[in-house]
Amino acid sequence: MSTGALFISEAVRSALDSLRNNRLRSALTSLGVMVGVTSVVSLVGLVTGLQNYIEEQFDSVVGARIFEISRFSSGFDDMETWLRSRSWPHLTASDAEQLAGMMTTASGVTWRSGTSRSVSRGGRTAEGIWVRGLAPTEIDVGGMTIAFGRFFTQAEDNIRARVCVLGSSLADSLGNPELLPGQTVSIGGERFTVIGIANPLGSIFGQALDNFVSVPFSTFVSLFSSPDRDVEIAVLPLPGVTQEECQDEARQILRRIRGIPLDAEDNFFITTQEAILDSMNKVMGGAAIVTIGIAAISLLVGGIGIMNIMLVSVTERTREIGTRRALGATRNDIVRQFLVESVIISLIGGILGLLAGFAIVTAADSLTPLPASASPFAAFLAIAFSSTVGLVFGIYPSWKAAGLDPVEALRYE
Amino acid sequence: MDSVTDPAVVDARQIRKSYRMGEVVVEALKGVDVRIDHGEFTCIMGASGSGKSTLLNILGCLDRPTSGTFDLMGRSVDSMDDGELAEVRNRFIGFVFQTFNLLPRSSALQNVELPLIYARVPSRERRERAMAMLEKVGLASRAGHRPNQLSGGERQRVAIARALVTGPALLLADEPTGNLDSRTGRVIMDMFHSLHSEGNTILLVTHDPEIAREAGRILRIKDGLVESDTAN
Repeated sequence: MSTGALFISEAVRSALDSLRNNRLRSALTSLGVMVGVTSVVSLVGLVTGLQNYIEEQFDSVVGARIFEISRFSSGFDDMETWLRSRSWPHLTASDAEQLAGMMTTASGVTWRSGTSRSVSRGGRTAEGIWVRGLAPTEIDVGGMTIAFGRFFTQAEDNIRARVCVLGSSLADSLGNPELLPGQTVSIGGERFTVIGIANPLGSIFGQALDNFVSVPFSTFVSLFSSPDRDVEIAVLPLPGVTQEECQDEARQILRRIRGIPLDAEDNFFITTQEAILDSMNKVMGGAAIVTIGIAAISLLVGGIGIMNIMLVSVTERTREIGTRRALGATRNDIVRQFLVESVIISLIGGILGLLAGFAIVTAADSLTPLPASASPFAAFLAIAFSSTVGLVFGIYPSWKAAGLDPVEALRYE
Repeated sequence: MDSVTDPAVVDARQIRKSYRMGEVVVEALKGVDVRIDHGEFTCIMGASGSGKSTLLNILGCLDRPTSGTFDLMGRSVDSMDDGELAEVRNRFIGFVFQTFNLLPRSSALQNVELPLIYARVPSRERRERAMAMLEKVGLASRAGHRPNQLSGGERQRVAIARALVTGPALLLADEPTGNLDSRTGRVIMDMFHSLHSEGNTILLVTHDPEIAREAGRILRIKDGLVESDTAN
């Protein structure tokens, strides 16, 4: 053991002694750091949990390989982009149909539109239900699976059949889902026959995804919309084809269909799940910055508390410092003693904060729909932050202690 | 050790010390010469404000003279930096204070170990040496007690053990019986005599003529100068 390490272990022992003798004071001082670390650990836990959750949701609900094409960007874009998009021609079902006919690298192309209507059956009415006009190819792309009954066919789409597939939660609110196929419901006053019930998709960010009714696209256009309405196109690449290849083909075809000159930019957006995740992560990044801000402020406050109490401690122990100097302590020995003490106070706060933060994260995870996970990274942050705070805010008091004149210090009453 | 060829323990010449107190410069010491040889038991006497405490602080390497030279054990301490002075205090000087200056939250044993911590002595050796020293002052059975569980005399004995544990060349005692009743003071003085007879060099500051009479040599300080230097 080096003499330095020997001395540090002595300093730690003496620091623990001194903290034990001022239990209440040390505890209150640690509290400041504890609050800061608790907020960091719990916020980091919530943010990482949310991030993992979003990724899982995207994978399970939409499938990672699907990409979407629409006139408006589905990311979080600026006003300028949105205004530009508004001047472009609508992306219509006819564009989508031509695209579907020409794509060679896609295993499925489908398109969707939607509006809101009330849906009723017998005496029960559900207001504000999302009515989705879906191409029959929806089922090929894999956006929806059927629990009971069946999905509508190309033939039904051709004849604008009044058939519908209910989302699981809408089905629940209209009756027993298993018995609903074959029954008649009213969508915005129009009579439809239920032919199927979709499997539940769950929810993203607590927003129910299953409160919808799907009807054949051409039925949707004739009853609730018009042929030039914007649609959203979804494309699933063939197995063995990369997303990029498939996107390139879709882009070239759409440019031809929409008559875009060679040197002009696209007048539609292709959005991948990754791009959506990226923009989600941007939002999360914002949340992380807020977290860091909160943490920095509370750690600053905690640090000032530590500095304050260390200054009090230096004054109280002036004579002790004088005695130690007389017995052979160097200035560095004194600095080390007080620094170790302030780091330990802060570290205790950090460890308590870590435990409290993990407790909050665990509670949030099990008691609320918020997904949260305690990460080793958060633990690392807690320990690193709190020891840094102790070190930084211990410097001035330690320096002050070491600077005391031994003669004056011994005389201090 | 052969005391004849040894350098003097203390060889201080023309020590001056002045303080600035606001506008006024106070001369605490105005050119003091002190030579103390190995094995001497010397008393410094003087009224309060005579400069005796200032001299003690300088001889204890806690303070530096404004001018003059000071050799301790044949080594000049004049140009030593703070770290070197700390080492000199640790290895060559043992302090005994009027108010004992024990660390209140540490046991007797831990107090005695303190100088050895700064000497970077490993913990087991430290414990053994501190324990031996407590035995020497008759407090081995009190090793685990804190200062507030000890009587005044016992506290001062712990302080003496602490001063001696590094085997210093010079034991400096500043009014060591000043806070004790006369019976307990007697015990402490007897301890100094026995330490002296073992060959320790002792410099004791007092204002009590009774106590000063017990030393082999009395150095009287008045107004920052040595007024008299007499052997008993």
